[in-house]
Amino acid sequence: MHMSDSLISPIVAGVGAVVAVSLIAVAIRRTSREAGDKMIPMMGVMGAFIFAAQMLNFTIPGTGSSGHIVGGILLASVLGPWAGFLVLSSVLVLQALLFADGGILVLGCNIINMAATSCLIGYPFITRPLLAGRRTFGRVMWASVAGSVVALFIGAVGVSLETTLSGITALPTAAFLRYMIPIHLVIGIIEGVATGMVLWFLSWRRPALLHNADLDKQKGTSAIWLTLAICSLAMAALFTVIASSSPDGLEWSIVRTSGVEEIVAPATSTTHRFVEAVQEQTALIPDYELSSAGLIGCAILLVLSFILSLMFRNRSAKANK
Amino acid sequence: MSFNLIADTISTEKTGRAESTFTRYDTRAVTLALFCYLVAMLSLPATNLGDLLVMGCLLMIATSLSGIKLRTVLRKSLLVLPLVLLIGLFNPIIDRTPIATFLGVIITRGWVTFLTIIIRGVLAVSAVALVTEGVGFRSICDALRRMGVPKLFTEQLLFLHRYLFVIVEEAQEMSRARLARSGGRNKLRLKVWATLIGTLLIRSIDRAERIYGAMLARGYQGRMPDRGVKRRWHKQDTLLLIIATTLPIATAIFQPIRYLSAL
Amino acid sequence: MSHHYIEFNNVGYRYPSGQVALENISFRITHGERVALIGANGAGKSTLLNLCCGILLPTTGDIVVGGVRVENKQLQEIRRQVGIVFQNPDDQLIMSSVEEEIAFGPLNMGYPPDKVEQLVEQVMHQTSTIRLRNRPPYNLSGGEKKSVAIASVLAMEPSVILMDEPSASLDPRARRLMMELVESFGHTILLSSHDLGLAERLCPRTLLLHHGYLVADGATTELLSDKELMERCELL
Repeated sequence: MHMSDSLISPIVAGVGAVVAVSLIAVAIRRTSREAGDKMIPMMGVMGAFIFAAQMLNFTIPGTGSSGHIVGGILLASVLGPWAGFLVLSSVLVLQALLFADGGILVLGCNIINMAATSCLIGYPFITRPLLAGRRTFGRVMWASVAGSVVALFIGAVGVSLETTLSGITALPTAAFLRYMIPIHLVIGIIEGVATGMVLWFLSWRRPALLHNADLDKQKGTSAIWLTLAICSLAMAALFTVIASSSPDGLEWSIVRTSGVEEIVAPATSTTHRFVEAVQEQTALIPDYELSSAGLIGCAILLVLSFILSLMFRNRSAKANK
Repeated sequence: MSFNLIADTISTEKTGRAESTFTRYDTRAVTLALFCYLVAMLSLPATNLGDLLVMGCLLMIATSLSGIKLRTVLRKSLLVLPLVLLIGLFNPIIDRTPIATFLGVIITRGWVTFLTIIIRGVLAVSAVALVTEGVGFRSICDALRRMGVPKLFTEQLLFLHRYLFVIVEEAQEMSRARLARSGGRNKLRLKVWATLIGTLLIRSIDRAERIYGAMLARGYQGRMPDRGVKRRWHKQDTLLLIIATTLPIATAIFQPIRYLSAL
Repeated sequence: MSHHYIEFNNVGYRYPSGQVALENISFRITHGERVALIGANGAGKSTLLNLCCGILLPTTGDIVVGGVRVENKQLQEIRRQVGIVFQNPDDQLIMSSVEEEIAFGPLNMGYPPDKVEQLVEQVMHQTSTIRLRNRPPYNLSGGEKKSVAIASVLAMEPSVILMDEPSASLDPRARRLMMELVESFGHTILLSSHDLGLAERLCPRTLLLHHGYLVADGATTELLSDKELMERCELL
């Protein structure tokens, strides 16, 4: 989801920009070290490809509506995480400059929410490990869907936090999250399925194109752990869906948070109200929205813990060699 | 996003922007000015509608000085509006604190911030559109490189731009061919789509390899030669930078309209 | 002494997969000759051209082009001596303006800026592309693109010029202009083409490939009028 400049404050945009620039700097260094300037035409053309791929809609089976992919996991599968990240970031830059798809200041945030989540988290930590082992259709689809869902989930959290922390919108964080997360989980599944189908086509037609094509010779021991972790995340996320689809849903939470019934407020000074409002919005997760707080906390812990476990696993694997 | 929009956008890059006055200046100055404007404009508090309109006036002045039609510049902001409206609409719903009366009608802060959100959106997009139309994508990439962005990044951006339309057109042709056999549908079924995307990917990679081979054949040794603008920084660029950054920044810091209306 | 020749000595090429693309190819093209390379699809024309400019290296035999033996350590020199105009100009034109495109080769050679500028001007005059100098190559017509591609190769001052299907996707007028341009060169030229009319007009001599073998090497008009030969080689 491309964020636009209008809902963001320069401070949040600035932080996002700093993070994005650092990631890009690392990506440039890694890519030039591995392949040098040879990658320039390849990355440019792949950027054009992914742009074209984003434009092509497919019908979502079962519904009448159409979807399209962003393609981060696809790019990372072919070019590797860092080059894929650079390519997708470039596409975002181009879209912001030429097509008003996303703002310039908020570009850093968009790069984090869309490019970093899929290429630097979804692919290396979820999709690639899950692709290890015998490459069957089911496995490819699962790897792709899991990676996409995680990427989009983190992206949705990112968008919500960045928007509400900016303080321009009146929507509180929890409400925003309740709105964003279920939608993005569904989008994640769709993108995952679509990407998986392309990956399956590639692994059949031109397997050598896939980055780390020799993955199928490696053992897929992490698959079980990852699958468990992802299932727990999915269950936690499901709670949000259930919570937000409860009869009162979003309107109810808005009514509650705005306190419409209690709007017969005494006329205090504008500054006082403004400060109140700011406090309300900067409190990251207002305490009456306990379930959302719990969910987010759980999700963050989960993601962190299995990232850590993967790091330790790699280290012990190297030690055993 | 439609194919025609892309075709349109890329084709406006073809004429080499003779008509814009921005080309007289070093693109680095123009880019920095744009950046300052955006930061200044977006750092205004959400309730300050008046000074935001001042920012709007500044942009309109810049547009008229550039020689580019206002309509061209504003056109792109239409694309941004729907999503921004959707989220912005929550503001008047949630935030009902009254902050002013106008002709007997109580205006809530929510409505003011809603308007701010829309105008911010329009101005942000229009400012970028003005600069891109005024100097061109290539020039911006070149300015980025001269401001320190590594060549690997700016060069592949330029390649991306260069091959954008080629690949989009190829994708369009391929999809039209499949759709023609799909019996009246206008969107692709998932399996067909996946095959198409996969084929396009393979073709793109093969194309990239050929391009690289052609580059090698012309002596490419791994470092892109320094290209483009042999332009130095002139006095007029400093002048442009000073004027174009001071005005918005001053407006953001001093917020004259808010100050005047509070008197 | 002239270095502007192409010499193939018993050259063969086998793909990594084992498939044989060319076998036992020998010929010599001398300074200033214009030679056409014809053959049905799959006969090995592209492979032969790729061998000439070092994109592929021969698995048997040896090749000397422009005085340089085609082998790995000579690749830079080969690229300097041999210019190749690709079939699809979009594969070749990578820069954002025609002027930059033509300057790309000389700049890669490490020439000083004034020499680069002089070469670019000279070549643009030669190919009548001056009026296009600031245009982005991808917005040009097919014929204009072809002229720019040729110009970008000429700017490297090669001894030998290879052309892969030069008239592909050109309309009749563009085709005529391209042929006139080629006729104005003094370079040694080897061009591969399905366009037999072009071969006849531009090249006094023709090499005929069939299933990877050099089946005939002689005067173009003679070869083309030998109906039995043409049929055998699937060109008629």
